[in-house]
Amino acid sequence: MRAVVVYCHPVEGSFCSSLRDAARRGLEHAGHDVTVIDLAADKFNPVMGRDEWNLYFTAGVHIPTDVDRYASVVREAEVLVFVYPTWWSSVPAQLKGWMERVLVPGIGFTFTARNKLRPGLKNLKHVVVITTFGSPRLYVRLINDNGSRLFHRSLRTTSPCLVRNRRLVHYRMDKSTPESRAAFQTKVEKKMARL
Amino acid sequence: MKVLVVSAHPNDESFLGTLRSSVLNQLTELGHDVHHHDLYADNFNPVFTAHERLNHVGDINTKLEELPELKPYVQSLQWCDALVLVYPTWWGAQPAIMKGWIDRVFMNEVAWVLPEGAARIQPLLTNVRHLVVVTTHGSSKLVNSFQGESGKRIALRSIRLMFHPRVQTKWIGVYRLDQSDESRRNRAKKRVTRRLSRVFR
Repeated sequence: MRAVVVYCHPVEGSFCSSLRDAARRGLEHAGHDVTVIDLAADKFNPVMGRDEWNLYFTAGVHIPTDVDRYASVVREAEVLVFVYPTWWSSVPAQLKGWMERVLVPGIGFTFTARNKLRPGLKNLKHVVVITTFGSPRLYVRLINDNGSRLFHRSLRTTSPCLVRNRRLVHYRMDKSTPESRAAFQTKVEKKMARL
Repeated sequence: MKVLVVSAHPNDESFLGTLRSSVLNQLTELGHDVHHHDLYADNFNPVFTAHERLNHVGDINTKLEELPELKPYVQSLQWCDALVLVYPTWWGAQPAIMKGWIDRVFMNEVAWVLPEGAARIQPLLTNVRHLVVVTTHGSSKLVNSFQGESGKRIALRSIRLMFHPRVQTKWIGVYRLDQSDESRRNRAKKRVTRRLSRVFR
């Protein structure tokens, strides 16, 4: 399958970057075709500008030049993997902006003649969220994991019905040990290989 | 009351722009002391950098000296009694520019501290006693509930915990804008004014 790993963490060498590598290894091991998108390294600008917004609901597909290459990979993707740290219970702004700017009408979703919403990512089969929380599980349950709500629920309204959602998380990073990290990394690699 | 309004929309002539102006006028007319930050007009950069990540915990003065662009936001947050967020809901949550504002400004020693040996963080923005969110949705309330309203949870649960323990929260959502005409929008605007006036008498 064609897999796209979208990774967003400002610091290269962070635990998230090793999770990204683990996910990539797992997917490649299973024989998938993997593309990694590193938003921080690409210096991706997450702010939707005025012109972009004005064109949003006008006819046709309007993709700015800096987003074009992402849009073409995402369109073909069968597996979408998001690797990010959870900040304020949700995704980093750069990743949120990536979603806003890439999954525009015509890519992320389409409208029928009767103005009904239809899925845009027609090839999509799996959406995987791999993330880390500073807080313990109970706290996250109370506040809610808004990052996976974004990719599993908001994205679901615009993706094909049979998309399978998976969520791999490490709670309590503040108290994590090298063992817990290594175990989580192995888990990510294994789960990705068995997708 | 000292009110901080933070708004984000790329186009001032949009419905959200109208709502924002009406919120600002209303608050001024009611005699409140209003500060306003328009993140798009400020050209705010929402990307949390590697430098910020690596120096996240530490003395606030040093951090603000290194990040002078965040200083006005930190000062207004520490000054206000009420925070009003005005934004369009995109994919169920705040636009990236506003999420980035939260990521960057609600930093250690501004919004929270973790005292030595303590198990949980302590909120620092206890001056904030009212949190109001005014937001617009293209889709219906039903679709938004299905999507899990993650923006509502970020505002009313996640960042709320950094404010006063008994902070009053108010969610003013306008739904189904995609299918609304002029008269519906006018009604929605009046509803926002009415609901806002209950908080800021």
